[in-house]
Amino acid sequence: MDRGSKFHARVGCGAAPELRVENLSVRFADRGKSFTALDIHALEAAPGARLALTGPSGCGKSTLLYVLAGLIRPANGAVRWGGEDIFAMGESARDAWRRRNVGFVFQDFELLPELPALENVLVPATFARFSIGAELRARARSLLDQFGVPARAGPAGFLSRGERQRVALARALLFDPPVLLADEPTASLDAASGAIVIDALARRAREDGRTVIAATHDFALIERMGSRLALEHGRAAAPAEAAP
Amino acid sequence: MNPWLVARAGMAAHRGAYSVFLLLIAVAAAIGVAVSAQEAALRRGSARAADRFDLIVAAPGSQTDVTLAAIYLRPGAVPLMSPADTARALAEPRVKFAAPLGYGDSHQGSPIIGSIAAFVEHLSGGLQSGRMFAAETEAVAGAAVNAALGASFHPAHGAADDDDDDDDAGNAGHHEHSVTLTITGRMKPTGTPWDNAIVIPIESVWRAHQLPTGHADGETRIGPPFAPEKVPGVPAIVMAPRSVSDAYGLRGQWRASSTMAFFPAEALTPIYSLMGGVRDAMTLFALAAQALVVTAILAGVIAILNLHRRQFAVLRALGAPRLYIFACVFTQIAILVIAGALAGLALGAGAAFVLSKIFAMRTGIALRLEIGEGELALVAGFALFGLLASIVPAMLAYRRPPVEALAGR
Ligand SMILES: Nc1ncnc2c1ncn2[C@@H]1O[C@H](COP(=O)(O)OP(=O)(O)O)[C@@H](O)[C@H]1O
Ligand SMILES: [Mg+2]
Repeated sequence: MDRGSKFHARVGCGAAPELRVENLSVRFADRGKSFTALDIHALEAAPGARLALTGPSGCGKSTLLYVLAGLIRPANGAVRWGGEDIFAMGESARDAWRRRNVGFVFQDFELLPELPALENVLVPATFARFSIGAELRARARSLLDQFGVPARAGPAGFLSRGERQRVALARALLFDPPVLLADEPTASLDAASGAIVIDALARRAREDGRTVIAATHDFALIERMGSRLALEHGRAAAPAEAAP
Repeated sequence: MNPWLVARAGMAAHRGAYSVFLLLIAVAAAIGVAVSAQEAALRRGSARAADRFDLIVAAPGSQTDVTLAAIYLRPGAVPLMSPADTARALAEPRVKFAAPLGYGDSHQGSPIIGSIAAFVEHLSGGLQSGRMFAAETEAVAGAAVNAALGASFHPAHGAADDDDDDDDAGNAGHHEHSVTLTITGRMKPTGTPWDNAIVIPIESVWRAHQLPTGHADGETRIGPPFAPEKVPGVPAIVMAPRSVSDAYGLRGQWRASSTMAFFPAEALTPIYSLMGGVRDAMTLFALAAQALVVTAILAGVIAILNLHRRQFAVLRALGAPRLYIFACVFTQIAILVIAGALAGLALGAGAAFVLSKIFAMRTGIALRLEIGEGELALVAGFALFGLLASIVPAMLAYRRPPVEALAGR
């Protein structure tokens, strides 16, 4: 796989930071009553870890991913990436941190259906810069290539579901972020597309030393992750265990 | 940060609604532009039409009526000056000329006005073809009169119908005089209602109405000097004073118990102020329409953006700062507002142009349209208002936390 190291240097990404979550609790309001959606005493992930979040629907997997990305502020506790508590930062600093460190993949892809695949991949490039250089375009193209997405110019809305998720994956990896968060990335894919996505996630951690955390029900994906955290009602059902 | 890509996607997603918004903005802006440009053109056009009428002397009455009759050839009940006053005014020494205006007859919708050669010369700055009338049976046509050089006709009694410029010579109540007139010359275009007029020697008008002809019996000469005891009354006399001080002197002198004298600009002032009032009222309506349009569009945009809540939350998850979301929304609406305002400018200018053409056709007053500072300021003000208003939805999107949208709530 071609991920030039000069690229990392330019966007300021280094090796994956270590994750440490302490006494985390997230509270939501439901019809005026507040309840605890997430209550995690401790969670750690070494740089390059592959962690699967599992558990029944509604157990708090997505919520945990959003907290790890700094999108939901916990009621208590700290989320430290590389020793730094991301909720101690100001909002714009956290935005900048997220932009530099986190890639995100959703169950339903969340592409801009009106834009072609290539432009979808390039969207994150417009967050911090005015013009998209040729180098970045070339990288976007090679990522699409790598994931076997045909280089069609039509709107991404016309791609198959599998193709759309691979475009979303390319988008998440445009800046080669040290941390990749994926929320049930294979749940709405056929087996073949799912395999491509799983392979990309697994190899990313194993070969490139990036941290991958994926919420999933997909055994094919769980198998390829190094460890697993099973959640139940927002709590760890069992201590994180190493996958077979 | 460059929100263009995402803004473009948003506009593409809602191109139907956005097209309607654009049209609304354009029409709202156009109303203001058209009203303002039209009023300014009307003001300039009417002033230009009055330009050549330095000082008007008439029987006491409404200056507006006399102005409308003499300059804009809109016939009304204008009283005649007494023959004695008329004779004295026509013999006024402190002028380049004093031209009587006598009207009442018409030919195929063109009013026939009796006057003198010097006035025709002054009004049109020379003829474009043919020669000046030299006898009572000769006539000079305005630039827009539909009659060829050398053509002969019988004038119909009565003024041209002002609501219907078509040939109405055959209407009941109009009868033709037995005199035959021949067109010997054509005036240059003046951009005034006189372009549609046929000017004949005043003597011819007097004779057709069985009045003394201004000269000793048996004399066939036309034009000044007139024999004072042979001059009938006329509704108005145009004087061309030799100097500005003469103009004021003459105006003072002819403001008497049996005559009035005025500069047409004086008569136009109240008309202008009326027009200005109408314009202000229309502009107010246009502004209200614009405010309404902006508010309606704002509501529409907010509804549309609501559909995009999840998309914005996703962008945040992908690393977009809050300001980026603001910029995406603002860019879309700004493009809408600016494109709409520019389209409105063009649309308004187009509408004013069409209105001017219609107005010129009906009145003969050529209107020169200009999109000036006033119109630009109107559109710029509207656009600015729209841009300020777009801060509202942009701010709403900016402030919305991504959590709820991501949770699908
Ligand atoms: N923004 C929110 N406000 C209130 N409740 C929420 C919100 N987001 C999630 N929840 C609730 O928190 C719980 C965990 O949700 P989620 O993390 O989406 O679960 P999972 O991804 O494991 O299916 C659910 O009961 C869900 O209804
Ligand atoms: Mg979920």
